Amino acid sequence: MSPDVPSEIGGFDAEDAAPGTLNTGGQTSVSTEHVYHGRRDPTAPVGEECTVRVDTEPLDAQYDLLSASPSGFEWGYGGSGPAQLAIAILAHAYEDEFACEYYQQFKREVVAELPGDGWTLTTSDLDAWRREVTGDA
Amino acid sequence: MLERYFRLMRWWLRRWYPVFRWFGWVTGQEEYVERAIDVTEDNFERILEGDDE
Repeated sequence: MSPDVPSEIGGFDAEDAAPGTLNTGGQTSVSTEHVYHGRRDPTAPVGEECTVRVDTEPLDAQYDLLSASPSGFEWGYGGSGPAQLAIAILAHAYEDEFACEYYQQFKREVVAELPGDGWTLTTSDLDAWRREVTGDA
Repeated sequence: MLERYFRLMRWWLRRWYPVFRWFGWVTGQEEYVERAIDVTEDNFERILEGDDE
């Protein structure tokens, strides 16, 4: 996990969540490090169990880019909720065009492998994944 | 018993996803196929979680 992850963010490590899919070894020239944090509350009302925050703010679902899951985000499998989460994360971290082109792959390789209870991803994790898929050095 | 059956069904159907994606590519309907796969996965997830109970 990135050393930039704030200490108050506990829970699951992205490398534990998707072993072999994320490499946090290198840093890129991103200007801002964000922390994406997902939590599942089984006691919450139906449709509100899954919450995803970027830093301290709720993550925008980006329904203008994709309207796959009106009920919000999901993770841990390869469905429409995970697709919505994938495009939301990528669109927040990168350009909309990149998000639209790669969200299905991101869903399969990362979001579907996230642990059910909760997870944490950082911009460094995303950069590492992006380098893998685009082949950038 | 039923849960095992549905897991077997999901496993078997997942074997076909590359074929579905190939048809989507051939017909130019990749997004349609991906949505169909997403909905299929959603349904299996709900079935196996017992959300309908």
